[in-house]
Amino acid sequence: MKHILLTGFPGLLSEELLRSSREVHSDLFWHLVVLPEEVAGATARLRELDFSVSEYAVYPGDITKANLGLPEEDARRIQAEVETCFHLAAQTDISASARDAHAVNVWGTCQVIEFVKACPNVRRFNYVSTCYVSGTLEGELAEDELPEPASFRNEHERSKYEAERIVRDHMDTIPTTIFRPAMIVGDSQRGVTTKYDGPYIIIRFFRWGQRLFYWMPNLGSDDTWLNTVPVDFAGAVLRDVGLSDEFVGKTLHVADPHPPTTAQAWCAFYHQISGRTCFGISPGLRKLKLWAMHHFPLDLLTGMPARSLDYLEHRGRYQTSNLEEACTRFGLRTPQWEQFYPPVIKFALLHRKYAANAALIREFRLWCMTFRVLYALTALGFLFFPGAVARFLTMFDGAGGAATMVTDNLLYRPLGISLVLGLFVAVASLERNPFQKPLHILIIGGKFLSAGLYFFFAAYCAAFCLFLGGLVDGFIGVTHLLFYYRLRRVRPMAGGEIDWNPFGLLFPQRFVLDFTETMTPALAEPINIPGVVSNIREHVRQLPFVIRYGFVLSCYYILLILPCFSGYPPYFLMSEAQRDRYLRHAQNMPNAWLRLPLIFVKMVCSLYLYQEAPYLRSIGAI
Amino acid sequence: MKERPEGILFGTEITGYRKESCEICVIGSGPGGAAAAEVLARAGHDVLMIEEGPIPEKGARLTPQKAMQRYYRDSGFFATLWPVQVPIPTGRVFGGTSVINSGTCFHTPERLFDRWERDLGVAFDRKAWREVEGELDEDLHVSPCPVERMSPSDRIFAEGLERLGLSGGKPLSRCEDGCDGQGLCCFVCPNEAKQAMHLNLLPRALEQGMRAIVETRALGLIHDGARVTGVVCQTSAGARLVVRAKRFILAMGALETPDFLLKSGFRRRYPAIGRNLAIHPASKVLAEMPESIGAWKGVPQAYCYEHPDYPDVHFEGIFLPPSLGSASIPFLGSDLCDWMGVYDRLSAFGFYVSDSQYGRLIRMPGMRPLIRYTLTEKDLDGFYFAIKTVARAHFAMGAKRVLLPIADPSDVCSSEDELEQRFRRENMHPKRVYSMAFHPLGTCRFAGSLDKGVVDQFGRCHRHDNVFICDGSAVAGPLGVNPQITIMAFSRLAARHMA
Repeated sequence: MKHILLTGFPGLLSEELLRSSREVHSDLFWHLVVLPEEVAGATARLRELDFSVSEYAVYPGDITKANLGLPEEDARRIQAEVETCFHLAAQTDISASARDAHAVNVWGTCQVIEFVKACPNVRRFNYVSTCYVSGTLEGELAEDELPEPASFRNEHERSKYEAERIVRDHMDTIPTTIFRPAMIVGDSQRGVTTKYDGPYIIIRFFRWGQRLFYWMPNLGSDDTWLNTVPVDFAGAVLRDVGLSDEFVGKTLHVADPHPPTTAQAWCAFYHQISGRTCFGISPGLRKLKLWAMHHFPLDLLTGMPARSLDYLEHRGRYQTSNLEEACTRFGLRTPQWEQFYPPVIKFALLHRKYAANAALIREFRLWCMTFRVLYALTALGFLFFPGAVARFLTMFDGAGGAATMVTDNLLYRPLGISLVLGLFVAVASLERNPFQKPLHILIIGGKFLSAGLYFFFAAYCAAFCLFLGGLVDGFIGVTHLLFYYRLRRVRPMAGGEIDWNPFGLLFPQRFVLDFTETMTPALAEPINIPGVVSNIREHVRQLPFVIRYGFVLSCYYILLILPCFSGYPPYFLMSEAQRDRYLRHAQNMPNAWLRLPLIFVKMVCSLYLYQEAPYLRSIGAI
Repeated sequence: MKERPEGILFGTEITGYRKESCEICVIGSGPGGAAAAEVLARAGHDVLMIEEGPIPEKGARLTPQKAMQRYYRDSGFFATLWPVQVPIPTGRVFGGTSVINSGTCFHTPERLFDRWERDLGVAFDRKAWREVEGELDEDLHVSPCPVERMSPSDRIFAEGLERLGLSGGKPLSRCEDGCDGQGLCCFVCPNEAKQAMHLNLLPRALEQGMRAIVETRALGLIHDGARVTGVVCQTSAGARLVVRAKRFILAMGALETPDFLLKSGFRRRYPAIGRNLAIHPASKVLAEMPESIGAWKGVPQAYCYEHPDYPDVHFEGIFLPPSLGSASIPFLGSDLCDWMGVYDRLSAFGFYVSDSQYGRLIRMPGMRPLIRYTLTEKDLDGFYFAIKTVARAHFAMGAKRVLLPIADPSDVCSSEDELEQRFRRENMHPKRVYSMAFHPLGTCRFAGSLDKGVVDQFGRCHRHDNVFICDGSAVAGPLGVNPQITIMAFSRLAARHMA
């Protein structure tokens, strides 16, 4: 049994390392040092990766503390057993502050080194650094040296540089291998990832950018390189090199030996996302644009941090002689960016938002369910006890009452306003230019109408009931609007997998992919995505749902408006005189034609009731 | 009337495609059509009458609802559409509305001749008119209703008026022969005492050789723009029937004749079609008396009154049998039960006002005629006065409470003081007054010129020599009285002129 200490779990690379090591080696025991708040998640993740408890031990700890924050006896036991150590834990956020970055990356690494020093049996310390410790250095960068660059782009790079420097200082006492991965992206076959930074920021930018600009300028250049490496390759290198006895004291650039220039990468991303090619611009104009983007609060608009643009100006290339040697030695194939870009981009387009909104959507589903049950009860109640339910509704739910007032006086105005609002919603919810094809107009019409209805009812519920005391409606209305606001960011996706329907909480939102399953690399089979889904096909796919929802919705609204037909308006809102008038006179109210069905039923029913012999006998008519 | 009188064809038995020809085709068998047909048949013309409704069943003792379903147009649910909904019950039966009305008969008030002459440029021969009215009185056995046969509610109101110190009330003249006061005038007289057309003029015309096709609906006129040559009908068995004739008399009533003409494409030629609709908006006040009176026994519409200060307001008795009464009480639930439980103690008296403005009938393809009508402030003034007078008369007779025909909290008052205090003029609103209307008139009215009317004083259409209109639509309203005798006199005069 080989005992291994691993920091930085859960994480993209560490998970891949665990997964791939298990495929090759069966006699490994992992000691995982996990932040206390992540222990539950880590255990769940391990279970998903199909690890049994005999293969790992999870210790709540913190690498920034002495002894990694572990209890004394745990630390002693681990130190006695550990033969190999992987130090992956790091602060990878490029916008992190110097304090945060140094705390984890520098101070944490020091603690890990101290801990490893105390291990008697340790034969290998694998330290994961980053290619970008080279800072702003240009040209071919060698593997086994660490020249001090003139400057760094951010605190992440600086802290990683300093950490690697410390590791190098201890190289003579600890048998160390340093891995310097480039930007890690998803799986080279399926693109699966849980971490969206680096090139994913560009993908995100294109997702909205391709809607805004038909022609996209190429902000990449031919003398800068975007070095990305798929996580499965990085994991394989880490596993094979880190668990072997070779390459001690060496540094490996876990990078693409033949990376695309940023111009090539830009083109590839844009082409795959939008189906169009971008056009080249002069270097001066490009610099100007980059400068403008850098100084403009772009991240507010696009979610693209200006700092990430810096990497478009990265002129360093990385020598990979050690890596190639390792590949030859262990039979690994260096990845080709032309091959792993498509799955990576597809996966990103499909899954980025789910990761961010998974919790929100789960919460939202719960609300949907709750309200659907409430509404269903109401509707059923209307069928069997219309009077009682209407009375009940008007007592503490403004819907019935407000609906009466609305239909009597205000029906048309809010409806008009809501249609205008609906236009905005409908257009905002479209993925692309709306008027490309005639069918669009039809579908937009449907969305438009339903969005209008949704807004109308949401707004009236919120408005009426907030100040009129209908707590339930006010709550529902506000929740509608709130969720609409929060979820509107979920909607615009090129693939359009979340079927955000504007009917609010009444009906289930349709999630085509179950994000909880597809998010994990444990996905059983490759995701079958037919390229970038064309807009029109997406709309056509939604059409039956729009129709079905429309039908159900209209049924519901008829039920909702029933109180005003039934002559049960909101008593608590009325003066006594009004109440009397409403209560007693179903027939001749203003707009009596609205209540014609009721009047008809009342007249016919009473006709038949009062022609019965017992009644006629009671008044002496027969 | 016999079960299968001679000369009557039943639309239920006519199938396939059929052609008929005659000299004069009368469409509609109401008072107007019957009066004209009788004169023409007597004069030896070949007359064919077309009627949409069935022949009323004899002695069937129909419940009021059944009678409404069978013999009322649209089962009695026809109403003005907008902005106020006023139901206008009319008949759809052999004999027309005369089968289902109360049987009251009035001579044409003298002031109307003046008005027609002044406003419409139509001068009738008043002497001939009065002569015809005399003849009709004899034909229809018109006589004042004896007090003992009156409904108790009429007697109560009459006495109440006396106690209020108001005089001028009088028994109504009715066309009846052998009435025993069953109180079902409006739902086909069970012992055929009320002299409706199917008991009176129509059998006489049939004896004179008139033919009639019942249960057959006229769909439209066949014309080449200038001259009308035929009428297309549909029998209730679904067959097409084409009637060719030299002259046509339209007598379908004030609501159907304009619709029929508009459907036939006469809109451009007669701009006045459908305009000038007068319907006497009417209502009633219910009162709960201290003791049981059973007001549905006896002739409900047997007494009338007019106040000299309000010449446009006409009081006439009305009372509905219990089951229909439940539909006319506008309440739901316990309120309705409350009032229906004491229905035997209820007394009622009605009133109608002469409209101060006209409604308009509009035709939409595929729909029943749509009517625009509203109540004016002047009408509401009349309503207010009438409601108050009736309520006061009943209070004078010791009524425990009255039910006023308004949708307002003040609709029930239990004393005269309360009435004075709570029932105010500002409570009256066109949409909050329960009303019905009974005498639609004037939609194709006679007038000297085409812009004011459709026909001349002899019922002839201004632009079509061979089309005559002899029904309520030709008579310019409002009359202020029951228009049956007026319509019949007009028709008879027109037919005599024709013959």
